[in-house]
Amino acid sequence: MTISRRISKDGHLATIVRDIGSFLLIPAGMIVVSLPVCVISRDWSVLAAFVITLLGVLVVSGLCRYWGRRAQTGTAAQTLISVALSWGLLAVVGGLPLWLTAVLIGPQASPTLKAFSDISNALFEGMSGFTSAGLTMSLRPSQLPASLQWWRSLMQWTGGVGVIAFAIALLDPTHNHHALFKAEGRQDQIRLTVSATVKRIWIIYSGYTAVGILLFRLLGMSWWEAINHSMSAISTGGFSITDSSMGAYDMPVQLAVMVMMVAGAVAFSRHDIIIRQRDPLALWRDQQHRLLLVLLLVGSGLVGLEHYAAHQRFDWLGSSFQWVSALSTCGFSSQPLQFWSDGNKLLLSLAMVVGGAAGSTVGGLKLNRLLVLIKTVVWRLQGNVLSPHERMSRRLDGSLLQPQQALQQVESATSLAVLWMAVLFAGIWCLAAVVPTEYTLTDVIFETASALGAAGLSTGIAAPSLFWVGKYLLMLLMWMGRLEIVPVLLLFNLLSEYLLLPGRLTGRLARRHGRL
Amino acid sequence: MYLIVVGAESEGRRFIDMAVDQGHTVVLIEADEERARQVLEKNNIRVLQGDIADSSILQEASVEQADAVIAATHDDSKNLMAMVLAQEFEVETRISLVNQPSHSQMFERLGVKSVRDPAKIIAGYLYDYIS
Repeated sequence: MTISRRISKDGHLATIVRDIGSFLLIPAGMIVVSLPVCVISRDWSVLAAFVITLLGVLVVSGLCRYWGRRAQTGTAAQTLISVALSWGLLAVVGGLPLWLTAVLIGPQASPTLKAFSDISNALFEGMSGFTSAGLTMSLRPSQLPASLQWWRSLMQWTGGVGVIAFAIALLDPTHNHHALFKAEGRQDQIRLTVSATVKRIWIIYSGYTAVGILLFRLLGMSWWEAINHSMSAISTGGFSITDSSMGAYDMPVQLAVMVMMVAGAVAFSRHDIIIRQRDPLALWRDQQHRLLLVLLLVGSGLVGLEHYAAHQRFDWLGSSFQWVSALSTCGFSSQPLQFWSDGNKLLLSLAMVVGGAAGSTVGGLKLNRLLVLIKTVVWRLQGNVLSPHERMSRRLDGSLLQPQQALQQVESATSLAVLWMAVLFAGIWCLAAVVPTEYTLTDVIFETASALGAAGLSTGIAAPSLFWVGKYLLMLLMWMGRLEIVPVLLLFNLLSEYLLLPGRLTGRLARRHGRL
Repeated sequence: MYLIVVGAESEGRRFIDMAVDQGHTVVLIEADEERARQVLEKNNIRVLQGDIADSSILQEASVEQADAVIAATHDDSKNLMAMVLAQEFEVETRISLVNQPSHSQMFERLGVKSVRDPAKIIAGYLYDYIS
């Protein structure tokens, strides 16, 4: 029996294939939206590249949907796997227009565009775009055709809030909404149903983007810059269309960008409360966001002091800008980081690994996990000083947790933190082997943290000159980080079972079906 | 003020809500797990889960610093024991709920401020409405 026949006999795989086919309609829609941009900016090669990509995506999507036409609703594990696979495919769809444009234009292309005639650079840009990471293979983004600048921003804008979240809002209701929603690393619902929640998220998200565009325009950006930068700031993506990121602007614009990045790092559920109650102080009443504000202030101070220690002068704006950019995992920079001190690179790495509030557009471990980890330590210490009859009260955000609930919280936060550390370490170890010798270990740690946290600050390692293994490694890290590792592990598990024990897969899947 | 409350039945619980609201520091001694949890859910206070008869539970509640001990269980023997112990530790204000009217003399002899027969008080209020 051939492998393909075995797959087609397996109803579980049909579900995964059908889901992937549906998700592919999202990038197809994004391309359709981008076509007018090509026409307005007269980028005919880009238009051709988009049309070719669009046809390819539609064909693949159609085939997938045809194949899985009789599939049933998936289980949680299958949903996680199809989400993981879809995100991998998104990188391809995101990178194709860049690659095709570079190939179509050929030798006349600007050096920045020419870099994308190497397919691995294009895939890297696609992955970095959709995961809203912001590491880039464009040395001088200002040289790119306007419609490709738009495409990079659009990938981040859609990817930041979650492609699957988009799919839920638009696609048919046969999908397991709740599982999909959770697969992209969201927990809190702000409306009764998942689809209403997603719609509300999109309204808030679009609103903030519009506010950002106006704000940036008023403070001195051109309309085109304002649109692109607002999209990549609120999505905490970090692609820019200038050559020196936010270094091209003066103080008022940088402050406005910081505000937008912080807005991107605040959970949508909090935004919802702030908007409904018209009370910005609602931010402070939630422990996770209180932690965010405290970390923003304390971290900026630390980075500023470290900067003074290293360079003998204070640069509060620059220090706090990079810190806000790192903690919100946005990845805009206002100055080159290559010559920053090791201490500051490590501080920023930590921020990029931690990330902002859960339920926002940030990457990283997220602050609700950090909060539980801190609480775990506090509870452990409290347990030691308890008097004989005293009842232990474990509180999270003011409400009392049953011992069982507390255990669950601690378990999920610690297991993710362990996974995060393991992947981070493995990433550092592998990347260190392939980077050029002029980069120090600190640079490698920084770049790995930036990829895993989907942040996008760079010391310069992520560039077209990087050995291809390094590029794919960083892509893998961005992918794992964006999906919070677990779906990717499930996918690897499935693949390894396929390769090692092909005959037993159906039984295994069926058993997992029962377990999850 | 630093208050030690013994018992978290409805009277004790209401008292704790009020006292915490007014900014007093409260420690609760309550043997029942469910009742202890209910109080913890509402108020962030120290709760000792145990019986007033458990050895040195009042010391655990730092009785020497207490401004008052309030006994509010539905069991007069427990309330009485709390009052006796409070007197031994020379707590200035000692207040107790007395469930059985016939027990009130014992409490009076100890010099305790007591609320006698709460059911009768409520009945009195109810009666006032018809007259």
